[in-house]
Amino acid sequence: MENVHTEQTDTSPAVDFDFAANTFSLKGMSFMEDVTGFYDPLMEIIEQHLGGLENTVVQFDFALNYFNSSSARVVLALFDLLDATAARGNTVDVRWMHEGDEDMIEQGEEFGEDLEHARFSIIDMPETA
Amino acid sequence: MANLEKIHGIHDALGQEQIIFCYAGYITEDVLLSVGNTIKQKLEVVKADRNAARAIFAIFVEEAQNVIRYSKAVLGDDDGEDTILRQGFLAVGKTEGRYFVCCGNLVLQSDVERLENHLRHIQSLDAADLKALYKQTLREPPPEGSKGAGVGFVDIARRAKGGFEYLFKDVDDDHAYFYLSAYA
Repeated sequence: MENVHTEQTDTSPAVDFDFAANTFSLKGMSFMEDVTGFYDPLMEIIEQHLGGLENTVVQFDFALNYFNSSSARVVLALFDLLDATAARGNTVDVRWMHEGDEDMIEQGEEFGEDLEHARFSIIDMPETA
Repeated sequence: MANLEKIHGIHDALGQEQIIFCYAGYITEDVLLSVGNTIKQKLEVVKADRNAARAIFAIFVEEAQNVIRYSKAVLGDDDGEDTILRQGFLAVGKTEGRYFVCCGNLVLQSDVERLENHLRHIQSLDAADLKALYKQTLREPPPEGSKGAGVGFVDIARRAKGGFEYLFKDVDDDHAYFYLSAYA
């Protein structure tokens, strides 16, 4: 599968999906006008890819500074997908990177507590701005 | 000059109400982005509490996107296709030491009861129940006719540490004006 790399904009995150290395990341802001238009194609390819994995190590980094409620639906769907991937015997690391903002830490904790199979860590990142 | 006197009166009244930003008219994603960023800058300049500033920005985005998606004051054909402009009202201000973010838009009378029940229900929930409703709603398919996640008001309620209030004002037999103000 061809890797995905898009630059971040004011309202959409940088997307890095490396299907050979099985490392994935979303970085930046997420409150674009057309949330489904942005995420649906990405969800489709990552679902397809993760669904075919066996005994594989997968890492997904969420480094979002802010996401709106429509994007939250996608983030939670990704968490559920990653947990299902781990439940099938893959080793899945979900890393939630933040810059010290309480709301983002809380969001990470809330989504992370539902993970039963994937490993979850909350990581304090130094501010890049 | 009478016109300018009137405009001064409106401007002055906003200042007296400590409204730091006010927008009335067609609201687009461009307006949302530039105003959102300006509000963020302003809050940085006055050294507002960082978590409050983030809450204000987030509430502003949810409210503006509500207007952009749902306002019934529409220029263009409201069939869910093509470009249309939606009209509404957005304001950010300070009252009794708290920042508030307010939005207003036209809704159908036939939607008022549903909206009011939904908002009243959200207001009755504590933080734990709001969190449960938030996650539950995110995992459900979006409600019929929703262009977002159908979870915007829950998100606003969770971020508004000072609570929120709302008001419906009749416009005509078919329409009402809906206002919501959330206190960061």
